[in-house]
Amino acid sequence: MSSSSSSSLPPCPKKMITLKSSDGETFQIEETAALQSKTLENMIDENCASTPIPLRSINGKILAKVVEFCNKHAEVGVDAESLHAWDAEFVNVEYTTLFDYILAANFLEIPTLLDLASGVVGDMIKGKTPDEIRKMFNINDAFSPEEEEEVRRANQWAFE
Amino acid sequence: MASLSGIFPCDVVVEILARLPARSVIQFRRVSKSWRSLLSGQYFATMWLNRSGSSLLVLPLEWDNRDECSLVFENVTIGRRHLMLPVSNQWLSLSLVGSSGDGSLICLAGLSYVRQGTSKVSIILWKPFRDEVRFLSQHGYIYCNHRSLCSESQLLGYSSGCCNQYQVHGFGYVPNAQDYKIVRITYSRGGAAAAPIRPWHIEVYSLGQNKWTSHGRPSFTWMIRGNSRAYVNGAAHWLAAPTEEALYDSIVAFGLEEESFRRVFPLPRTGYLSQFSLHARGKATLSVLHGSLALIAFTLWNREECGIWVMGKYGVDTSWTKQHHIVLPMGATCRAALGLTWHDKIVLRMVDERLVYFDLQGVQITEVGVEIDANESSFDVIDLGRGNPTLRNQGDPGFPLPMLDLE
Repeated sequence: MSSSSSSSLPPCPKKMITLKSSDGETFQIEETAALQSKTLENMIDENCASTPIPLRSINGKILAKVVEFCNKHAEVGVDAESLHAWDAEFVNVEYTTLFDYILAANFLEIPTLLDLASGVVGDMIKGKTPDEIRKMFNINDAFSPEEEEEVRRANQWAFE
Repeated sequence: MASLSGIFPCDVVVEILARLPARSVIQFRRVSKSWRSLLSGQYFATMWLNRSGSSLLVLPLEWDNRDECSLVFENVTIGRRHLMLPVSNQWLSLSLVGSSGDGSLICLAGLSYVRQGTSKVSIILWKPFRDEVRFLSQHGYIYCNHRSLCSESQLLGYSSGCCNQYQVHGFGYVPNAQDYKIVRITYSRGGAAAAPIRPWHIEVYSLGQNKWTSHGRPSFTWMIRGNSRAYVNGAAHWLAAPTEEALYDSIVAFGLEEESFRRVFPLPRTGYLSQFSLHARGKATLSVLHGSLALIAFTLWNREECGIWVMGKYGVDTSWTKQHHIVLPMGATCRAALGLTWHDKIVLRMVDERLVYFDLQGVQITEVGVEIDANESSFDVIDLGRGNPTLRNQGDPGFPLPMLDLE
């Protein structure tokens, strides 16, 4: 695969990329799997990534899962149905962990993971009250009770 | 704008919220000021409609509880009980004139009771995501000889024999003027009760200028019915017949930029159209498929098969081709084709009063998911959610359609 990259740059000699988490753990990932991340793709193009790529916003626990996700999605010959089941199991975690997946997927620009995790969070929050949402999302600019009542009145049909 | 969350960057919050059902979107306006401003904005509305796929607004034309109509998103019906159209119960019935194609602006016609035998039609412009509304009242009254009110014929735009007039509307966006316009064509007997009804008056309303302009009496005698459901190439289109009782044989186009009628197109001569029903009281429908004019017609002998003809090159009479022939599964009989959606589906009203989508590519019938009350004699459907694919990958919250304030 690496030999087919663009002709202006020399092909990367290594097929394995090393990632380093915020707490200093290192992870090996195959280049083909790493290319699902646009952020990593840019870094690999630039310097052939011979040194570990530091990812200061992602801890080892989450990075391990992200690497696992990328590896699974780079596997050949996995049928859609079993991948779907695998994904469902992958996101069957606490919402705080899901949030970490989303942040990591957003930073690394992995659309498949971002899509998957955002969808699950969407499902999770759709029945929540505004108060619960404020806590989950750490939101500070809430309305005063009078203002909230006014918003509630304006959209009454949605609250019945 | 204040931060949307202490945890996520703004674009991630938008990503998550764009997947929520409409009901949650409205509820979450209460979360915070910045959420309210995001969730009431046009940028979010467009993104959300893009995500939610087909989105139909289904509006019963006559009903007991006037607050009830349905917004349907991918088979998830919301607001069946309380969509709370921003209109009071002065309206005896409502019909859909058009929408901006991104769900941000909906144009309705409302019929109100004046006194025994007298009613009037007004235009209602509504921005559902911003809770704004503008009413355009009309001065002329509709008189009926026989009944206290003829609502359905007035709202569906055809002559019921007993009324002195009816109106048809077209609605669309004029890019060069960055404006929305409405054309209203009034058909009237002109004061003589026994006189035949004919095109009487043309008016155009500009939303930007908030003004009606009269274009006097049209020079043609084509009979058209109903609000236009085919706005393409800057013009509202209708099926047209030479006289009230004749079959449809042409298409009339009113250009909203130049504010005049264009050349009349003949209906296709291909695909055995003569085997299909073009009776003006039948259910031939003009719609739009992939930006082209599309004619839907049922076969003469049943309501289980229909054909769809598409005018491949706009204005080229020889470019009509029959692109689809739909045979409904056994036991399914259709009352009417209500139009095509932006997602290649035809919306059908069945004889058992179900509202269904039929996939043009596959052969699949899907329930729209709206329960239709047996008391509702008729209803109107419009697809709100084309979104604009060119907008999808722009991070810029700017929007090419003008944010014209209604209030």
